[in-house]
Amino acid sequence: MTEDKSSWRKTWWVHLLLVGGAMASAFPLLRIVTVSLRPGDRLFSTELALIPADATLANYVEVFTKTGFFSWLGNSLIITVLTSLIGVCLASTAAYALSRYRFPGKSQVLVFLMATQMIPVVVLLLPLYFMLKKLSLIDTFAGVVAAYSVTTLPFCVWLLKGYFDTVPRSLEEAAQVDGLTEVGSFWRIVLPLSTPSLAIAMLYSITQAWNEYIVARVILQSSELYTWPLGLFELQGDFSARWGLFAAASVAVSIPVVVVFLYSSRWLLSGLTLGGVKG
Amino acid sequence: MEPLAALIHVAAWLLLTLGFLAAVELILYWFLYQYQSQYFWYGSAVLGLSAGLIGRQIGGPDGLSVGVVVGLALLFGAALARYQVKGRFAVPFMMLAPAFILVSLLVIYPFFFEFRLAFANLNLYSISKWLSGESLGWVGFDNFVKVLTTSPLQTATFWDLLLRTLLWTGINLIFHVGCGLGLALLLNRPLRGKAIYRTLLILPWAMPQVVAVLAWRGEFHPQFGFVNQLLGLVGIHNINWWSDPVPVFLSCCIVNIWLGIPFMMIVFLGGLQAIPKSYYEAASIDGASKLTQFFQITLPMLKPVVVPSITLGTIWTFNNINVIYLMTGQDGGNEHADILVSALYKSAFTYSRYSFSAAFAMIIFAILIGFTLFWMRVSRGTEGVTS
Repeated sequence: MTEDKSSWRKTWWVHLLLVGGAMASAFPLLRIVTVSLRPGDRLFSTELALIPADATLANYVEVFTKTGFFSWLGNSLIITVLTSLIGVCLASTAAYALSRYRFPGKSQVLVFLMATQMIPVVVLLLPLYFMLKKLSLIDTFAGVVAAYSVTTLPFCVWLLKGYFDTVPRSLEEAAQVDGLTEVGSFWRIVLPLSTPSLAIAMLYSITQAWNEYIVARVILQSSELYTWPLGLFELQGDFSARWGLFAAASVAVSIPVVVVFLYSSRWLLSGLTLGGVKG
Repeated sequence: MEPLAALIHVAAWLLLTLGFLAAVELILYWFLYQYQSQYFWYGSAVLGLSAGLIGRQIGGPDGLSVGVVVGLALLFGAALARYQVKGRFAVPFMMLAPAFILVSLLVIYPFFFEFRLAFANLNLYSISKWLSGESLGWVGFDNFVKVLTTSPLQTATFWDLLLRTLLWTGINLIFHVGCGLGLALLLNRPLRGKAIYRTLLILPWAMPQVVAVLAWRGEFHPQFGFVNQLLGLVGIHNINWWSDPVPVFLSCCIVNIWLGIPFMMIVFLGGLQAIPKSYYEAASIDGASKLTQFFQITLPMLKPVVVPSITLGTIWTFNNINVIYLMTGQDGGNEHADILVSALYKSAFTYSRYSFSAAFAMIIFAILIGFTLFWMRVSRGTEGVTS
C-alpha cells in the first residue's frame, strides 16, 4: 500500500484530475474572500489575483457596524433554536411509538410522513401563507417556525425511527421486568442510548432552518425581523453599491457554518443513510 | 415589529401550542384510560360541549358549523374509545399524537385549502373582499384550463416550463451522478493528500446555499465576474449571462451542478468503501480486467446506494427553487431559466394570481405523484430481476 501511495508516476493523472476538481470547487469561494478584502473604490476591478495588493478589512468593519448584520444573526438564531427544539422533542416520542409498537394505521402514518417529504414546500406555501395570515402570524417568528416544522418534523421522525429500530429491544424488556414503565424505558434507556442520532436530527433541523431563504422571504416582511439570508440578499440586491459588503457578510456567516459542517459531515451522512435507506 | 416584541410573541405562541397539545393528551388520556369509568359519558359530553363552544368562538364566520363538527367528532371518538379501542394502543397513540397532529394541521389543512382555492377566483382584486369575510365562490375548472393554455408568467407557457424542468432535471442528474461517481472512484484509491482533496471537494456542499448562489450570480456578471474574464482569456467575449435566454439557463445549470456533486460524491464514496476488497482480489486472480471489475463488481454492488440517491436527487432537483430564484433573482426579472416550481412561486407571490397558482400547484403535485408511482414500479422491477 505505501509503495502505491508514493509512486507519483502511476498516480499523476489522478492527482491532476483531483486538483482540477478541487480548484473548480474552491475557486468561486475563494473569490468571495478576495472581493471582501478589496478597498471600496475598486469593487469593479477585473483583476484575478486571489489576494488583492492593497487588501483591507474596511468592508468587514462596515458590515459589522453599519448594517443590521448582528440583528439578522440573532433573528436566525431564535428561529433555528425553536425549530430544532420542537422538531427533536416531538419527533423523538413519535419515532419511538412508530419503532416499538404495532397499532392500526401505523403504515399509513409512515407513508404520510414520507409523502410530506415529497411535496415541495413551494406547493404548500400559498395556503400556508393564507392560513398564517388568518391567524395573524405573518411577519412573526412563530409563523416561520411553524412553516419550517412542516419539513423538519417528518424528516426527524423518519431519521430517529431508523435509529431506534437498531437499539436492541431486550434492554427495555429487562428493565420492564425490573419494574420500569413503558414511558420510563423510553426516557431512561432508549433516549440516552440514542444521543448520536438525536444530535444528527438536531443538526439536520439546524442547517435547514439556518440556511432557508424562500419561506422566510414570504413570511417575514419588516426588515427588523430579517434572517441573515434575507439580509444578504438585500445587500447583494443593488449590486453596484454594496458588493464588497455582501462578500464580507458572506465570509463572516459562512466560516462557522463550514467549520461545523466539515466537522460533523461524517455523522450527518451516516444519519442520512440510516434514515433514508434502511428506514 | 420590534425584535423584543417578536420574542414575547413567539413565547406566547409556544405556550399556546403547548397548551393545545396538553389538551389533546388529556382528551386521549380520558379516552384511553378512563373509558370504563361510570362517568365516562358525562365527562365526554362535557368535553364535546366545551370543545364545540371553543370551536364556535374561534371559528370565525363559520363558527357554529365548526363547533358542531368538533363536538360531534369528539363524541364519536368517545364511542370509538369505549366500544372499539378499549384502551389498547394507549402508549403509542399518546406518544404519536403531538407530532402527528402538528404535521397534519400544517400539511393536510393547507393541502385541502389549496385544492378548494384552485376552484375559486382569488386574485389581487378579490383578496381584500375574501379577507373581510366574503365567501370564495366557484369557477369550476377555469383555472386548470388557464394554466394549460395561458402563461403562468409573462410569456413562457406551461409546456415550455415543463420541458425546461425535464431538461434541467436531466442535465443536473447526469452531471451529479457522473462527476460524483468519477470523483468517488478517484478518491477510493490509496493516495497522498486524500483528506485535503476530500475537504476541498466537499466545500460547495458545506457552504450555505444562499451565499454560494448569490456569489455565483455576482461572478456571472457580464463585465466584472470572473467567468467572463476567464473566457476572455481564451478569446470568447460578451456572453451576457444575466439576460440572454440560453446563457441564463446554462448559468443556473452550472451553479446547481457545482452545488450537487459533493453530495453524490460522498454518498458513492461511502458505498465504494463498503465493497469488500476480497471481491476485487478474487476477480484479478481469475484474470478479470479493471473494466470488467468495474462493470461486474463495482456497479452492481453500488446499486443499493445509487438507486435511492438518484430518487432523492431527482426530487431535489425538480423542486429546486433556490438556485433559479436567487440566480434570476429580483422578483419577476427574467424568466428564461424558470422551471415549474419557481414559476409557481412567482405566479403566486410576484404576480399575486392566487387561485391560478393553486391550480398550477395541483398540476405540479399530480406530476410528482405520477413520477413517484412510475419510479417505484421501475426501481422495484429491477430489484426483482437482480436479486
